[in-house]
Amino acid sequence: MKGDRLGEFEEFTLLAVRALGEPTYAVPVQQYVEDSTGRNVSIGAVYAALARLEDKGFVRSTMGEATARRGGKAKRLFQVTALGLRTARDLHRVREKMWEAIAEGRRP
Amino acid sequence: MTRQSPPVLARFLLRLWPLGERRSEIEADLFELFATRCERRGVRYATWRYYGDVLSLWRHRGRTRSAESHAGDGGRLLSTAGRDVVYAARLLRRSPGVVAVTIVGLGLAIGVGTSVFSLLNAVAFRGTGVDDPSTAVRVFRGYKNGSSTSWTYADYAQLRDASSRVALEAYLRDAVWIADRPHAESIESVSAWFVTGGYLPTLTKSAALGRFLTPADDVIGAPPAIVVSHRFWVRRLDSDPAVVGRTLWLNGVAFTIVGVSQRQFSGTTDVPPAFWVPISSYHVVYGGRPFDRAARAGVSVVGRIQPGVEAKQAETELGAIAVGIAATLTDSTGELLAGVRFVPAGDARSRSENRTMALVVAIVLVVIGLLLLLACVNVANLLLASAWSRQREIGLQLALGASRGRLVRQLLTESLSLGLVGGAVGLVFTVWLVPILAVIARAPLEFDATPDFRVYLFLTAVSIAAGLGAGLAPARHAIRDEFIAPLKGAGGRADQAARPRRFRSGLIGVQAAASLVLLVLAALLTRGMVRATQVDVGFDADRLLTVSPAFGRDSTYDAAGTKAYWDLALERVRALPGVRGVSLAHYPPFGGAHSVTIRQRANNRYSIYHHPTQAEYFATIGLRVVRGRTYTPQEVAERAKVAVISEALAREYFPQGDPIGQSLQRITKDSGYQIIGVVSDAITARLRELSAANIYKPMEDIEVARMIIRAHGRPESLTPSVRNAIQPIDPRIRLDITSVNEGLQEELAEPRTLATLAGACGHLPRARGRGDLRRDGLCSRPAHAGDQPAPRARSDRPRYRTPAARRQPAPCRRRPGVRGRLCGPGQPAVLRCAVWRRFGGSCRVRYGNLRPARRVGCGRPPPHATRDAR
Repeated sequence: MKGDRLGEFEEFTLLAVRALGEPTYAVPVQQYVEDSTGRNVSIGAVYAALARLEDKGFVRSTMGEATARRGGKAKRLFQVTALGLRTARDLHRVREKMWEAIAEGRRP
Repeated sequence: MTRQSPPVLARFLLRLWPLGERRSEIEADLFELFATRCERRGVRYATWRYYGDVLSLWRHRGRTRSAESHAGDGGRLLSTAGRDVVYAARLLRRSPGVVAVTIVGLGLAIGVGTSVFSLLNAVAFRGTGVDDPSTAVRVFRGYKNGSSTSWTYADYAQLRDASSRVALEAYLRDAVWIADRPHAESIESVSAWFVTGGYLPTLTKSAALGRFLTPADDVIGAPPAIVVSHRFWVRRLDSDPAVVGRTLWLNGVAFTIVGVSQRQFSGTTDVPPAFWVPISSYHVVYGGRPFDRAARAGVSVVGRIQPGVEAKQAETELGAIAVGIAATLTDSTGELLAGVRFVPAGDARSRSENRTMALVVAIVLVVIGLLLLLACVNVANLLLASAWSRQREIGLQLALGASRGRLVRQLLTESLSLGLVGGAVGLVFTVWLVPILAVIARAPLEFDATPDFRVYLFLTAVSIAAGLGAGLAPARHAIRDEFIAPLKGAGGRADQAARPRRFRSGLIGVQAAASLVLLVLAALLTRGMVRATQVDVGFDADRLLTVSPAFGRDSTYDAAGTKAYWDLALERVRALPGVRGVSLAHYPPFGGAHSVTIRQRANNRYSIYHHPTQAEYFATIGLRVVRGRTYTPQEVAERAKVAVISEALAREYFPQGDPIGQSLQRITKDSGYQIIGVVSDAITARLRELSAANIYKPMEDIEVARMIIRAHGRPESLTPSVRNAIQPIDPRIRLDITSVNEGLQEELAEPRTLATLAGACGHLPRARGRGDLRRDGLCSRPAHAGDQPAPRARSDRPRYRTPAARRQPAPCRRRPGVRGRLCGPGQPAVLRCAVWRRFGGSCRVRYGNLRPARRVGCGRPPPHATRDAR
């Protein structure tokens, strides 16, 4: 359990939701993460990550309309919250800072 | 392009997952993913990924499952089964009495059924452990009208050397005395198989411990080595892991144990011998000439067909070789070989024996089924009463919206739990009952009834079947509409109370029908049991003793030495008081038979046994001369070519004419022998075949003879004096003196085991069924036969006693204890016998008809025996 912080896979999922243009659902997220990371990602892992992100308040979900393509079944649509976006950016910033330090050879 | 759909199995698994309200959304997602992958990477890839996704849902079930599952959801089965079990346990705890009776009842039925099955399993279902049985064969000599199991060792040696497509090995069986130290007092006789070096490696791949015998062990002069069977290792050597290298003394000769066979391996028989000994050591154990290429002793032959060779082709080729060999030998019975016949080595029984076994298995399983049905009906009655008392609770659940299916499942879970607990109790009963049944059935020492996977599988299946069977009727009854009625207070219909009674009457009807069938079966099986143990062998086996001396390695007992020994022994034994007759023969009754000719009549095969004997054999055994005469001592000494046949053979081969003076060639193509007499029929070889087709000829090889003694009285009382008379001739030679009846009992072991199993199966439910019927009022006690109601037990006791009566001691009304009741005359014989054996002399009861049955094997005594008895 990572508390309110982001794990690696959660970060990928969060960024995928953001990158796909909101709102999106689990199938495109799974395919995006799989294509981006180059590793097989199961749909169960994506559901679990989205559920955890929702619990932490980083994404929120709503039920979409039923579509004919899915046999008349609705999809759960996800959207990144402001808290999620901020957390992702903070994480990105920390990483950038650390990489810069590595590049410049600075020590704390 | 056709539209692909996800794999059926994965969709089925998906239906089992507890996905709750997200099911529809997740199924749609998965379907979309599948369609996309089909387009991008093909169907196979999409299919595998679909499976992966379905399984990933289970791995991440904590995050994908909804808080509350809905009715109709497949996952409910998994999520609510645990709750049903807990609920069932809580309810069952509420009525411990009913539960205890139910569990014990079911446990007893399951225990008896499983015990019987486990013995049946040991008798009927265990294989011989031969690897790749399709290419392992027993090789018989084939004739025009039959076949023979026996080859001379010389024949075998030639056949082995000439055969290129079948690797041939030979064996012969015998009994030896064993001891774990050179001059031990407590020694016992066990069965040993003398085998050629390649016998064990040919039939099985590996030993459980150590190694197998190899051709290097089967060389005259090689260090004496043996391989012990797993059973012998467990029973007699205490499963000693360091057994390899230990020494055992066989007839006083030291042998080193080099290995232990695998547990399931028994060779080419259904009961494994104690050990396998190199055939080259035979003369070391028994004396006589060694097994060299010219040995004429009879052996059986097994073979392994080489890879890539058809069995028929190998049989034809080996037959041609055998015919060529037989033409050059004079040892064979004279009949021209027509070829060889292959019989699967993994099949220890003949076809007719297998048919009989299948019939017995079917009968026993039917009886077990009926017994379980009876137990289930009993338990169903109890559960029905319990369900009726819970009508208010069930009605409430229905009123609150519980579906009927849900209620049925809950009730079935209760009964299934009962069934499984009953199964556990049954397992305890099984462990306790199996040795008792084995003792009752007088199963042989090598008999291994340890439960294996088949028994556990049977136990589990029976427990589940019993649980579900017992719960089905109450569950069906519980979902009827009238269970709502109690919630309506007095508004319910008045006749509703009668309904379960009618339902229970139906169950009782089933019970009565099952009990009736079991009663009939019990009677039939008991008759079969009695007949199985009352085989008429044609002579009085009770008063016969056999003496088998073990001529050791150091003895100088060649033909002349052995003859001198036997002459002296015969003279001394004849002089003993209480001895009625003495004779020598190769094979005493039920002491083995190596020379067998097998004939075919219609669809039945039967064996003709050859008995080389002395002239006194007929009088000693008690065979009546029907026609002609028997051979004289003079003819035996001269080895005259005369023979005596049994009545059965005379009827078969000379139905009209007189066999006296005819040539034996008509029966066995045994040229040169003339039939001089016909004697009464006797079964002296294998009881299993019930063949009384015997040919008696003057004995030639005295080295392999054994002595048969007929006693005036009990043969056991004669044993010490016989030993004292013969032992001083050569104190080094160990004497094995046994009663012929012991051999007969061994022969009887298997039919008796099966008959006892069937009888026990039939009798236990008989007692049970009778009790049930009495309780249900369908069967009156004999003491109160008629229409009069049975008086209450207390009513015959005066309520008021006069002062005079009070001064008198009260009449003793001591009631029998539990043991007494179990052993009492009202109980089935098997149960009384079991209790009697269990508690021994401490059980003071009348045994009734439990006296040791001396009738076993007595059969029809010959006239002289009857006279003796008078």
